[in-house]
Amino acid sequence: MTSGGKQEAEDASRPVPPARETLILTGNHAASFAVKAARVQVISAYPITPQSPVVEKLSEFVEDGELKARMIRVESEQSAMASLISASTTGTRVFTATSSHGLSYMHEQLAWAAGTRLPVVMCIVTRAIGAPWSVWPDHQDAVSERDTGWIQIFCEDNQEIYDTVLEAYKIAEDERVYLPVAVCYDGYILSHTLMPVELMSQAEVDKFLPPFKSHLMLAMSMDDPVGVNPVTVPEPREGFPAYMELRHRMQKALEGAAAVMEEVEAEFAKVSGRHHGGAVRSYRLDDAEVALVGMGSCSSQAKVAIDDLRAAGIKAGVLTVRLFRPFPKRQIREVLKGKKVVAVFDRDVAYGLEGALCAETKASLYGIPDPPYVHGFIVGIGGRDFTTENAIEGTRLAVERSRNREIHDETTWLNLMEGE
Amino acid sequence: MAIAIAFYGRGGQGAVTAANLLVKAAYKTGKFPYIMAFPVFGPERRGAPVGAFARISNQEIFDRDKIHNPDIIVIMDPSIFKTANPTGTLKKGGIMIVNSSEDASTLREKYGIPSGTKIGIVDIVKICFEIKLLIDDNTPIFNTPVLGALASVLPQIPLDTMYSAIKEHFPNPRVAELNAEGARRAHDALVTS
Repeated sequence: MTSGGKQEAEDASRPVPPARETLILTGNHAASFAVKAARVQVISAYPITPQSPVVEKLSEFVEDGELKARMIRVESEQSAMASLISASTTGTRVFTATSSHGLSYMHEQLAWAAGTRLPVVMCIVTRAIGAPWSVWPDHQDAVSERDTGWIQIFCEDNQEIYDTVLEAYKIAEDERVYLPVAVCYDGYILSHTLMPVELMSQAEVDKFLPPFKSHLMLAMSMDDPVGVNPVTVPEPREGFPAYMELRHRMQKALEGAAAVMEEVEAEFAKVSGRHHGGAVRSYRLDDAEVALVGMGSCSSQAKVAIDDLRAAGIKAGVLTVRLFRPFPKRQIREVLKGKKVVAVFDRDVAYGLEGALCAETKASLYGIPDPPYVHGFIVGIGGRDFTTENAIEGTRLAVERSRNREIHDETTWLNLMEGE
Repeated sequence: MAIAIAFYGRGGQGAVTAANLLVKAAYKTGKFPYIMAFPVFGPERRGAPVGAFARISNQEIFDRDKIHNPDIIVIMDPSIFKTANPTGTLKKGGIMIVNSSEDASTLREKYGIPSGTKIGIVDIVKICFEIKLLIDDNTPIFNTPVLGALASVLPQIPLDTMYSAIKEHFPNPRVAELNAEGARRAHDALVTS
């Protein structure tokens, strides 16, 4: 190339993008760094254990001028979400984080954010819900909000938290989606645990995640005020859709969101070199006859059991469900078809039924020929440990009960103490 | 190679900081690309029994439970033996590092540590008063000397790497130097049997 010399000289004069950096971070701080990298513009939050360090770190970034965002201090989580709904409606990129009772207190506004089709992103640092009082981890808070229309993604480690927050904005702001996304991770188990996290350079993040372009209909400003979400009657009127059509569109957007998430993951992998599997992630499942299924800390811990299970003659692998809403029925069906036994470990209870993940895994497999035998287990409630031994015990029991395809309507809880 | 370390002490003695600095040093060696450090999650108050855990490995760590079977137990405060003696949880062939002014046979007898269990003893309180590694001139700082003691039983993490983790933690060079000195003395003073 004749102009090679000139080209080289030009390249040398360009500023070198700051290199990637690996820091040892808690899960909470991994989330904060991702929010900073996403150039979030409005943050609103109320403190609650074990979430608070996420927003404390963000407030440091804002004070230091490292993040040009408006930090709104509110008197409750309900107001935190309400203020973000307003901010998002004006076309800004927004963030909050909460846990447990804080999330419950947001419930009404969660439905409002989803129904307005706003790309709000929130971290749910999962924690048990009272009564009785508990500050320890399980998935009950997030799972209890599954029907509000939010997308929910669960993480297994701190790198995944960082990466998923970045992906969450890209998914939420995709015009085929326009829905809020919750990035869920286990309180304490990840939130307060140090792990290495590779931070992308700002240039890489900017390339992956360009500035938010708002939903055109809703780009509100002080000069051109519009009313949002007026009373919406049962039948369409004067060219405006009715409630049922709008809700139908929301469900259609959710039905398509898993495919969007997979596209976003592929794009993220190109930039970062990391791919977390999309809606679900498999671990040693290819040749497996038995699948252990879980989310977050449960699926991670289950992986530790695989060597022992295989040594004992149970050909097992693990399916991590990353995307809990929309529930990835097709992906789960594809991975689990042909397996003999599926043991689902839930760190939550759909009270009065069984573990939520178990019920939905069963529903996903309905109608396929020769379906696997599915058995659910309730584990790790309110911070009780979910150990490798528990995963092995559950899997063995599921395999044993599968021989006669036993049906058990009552739930099976592992690691109960005091003679329960 | 995965190594699990459990730290037990009382609130304010720095069990959590010790676990955090240990994994940072381990990561720095390049031999342990996978690390995790986490506290025992409970009420936080000065003087209450606390624990912290660390896992370091050359393979991805999937464990998300507490450490039930550590390779190394660090006892920052021997009074812990009276409230919740963790001796029985130590992995076979593991080592127990105790901050104490007493000798091994006394500790074994008082706290039921079997003769087959390896003990490393270092009098951190004495070291702290010698070099004035103290808070308010009267409260010894245990966490950084503990790292020195660990360096002497974990050859994969040299004392120099512990120093660099300590120095990153303390921006004030004089404070960093004093803490590094505490680590060095504890490293040299550790007696194993």
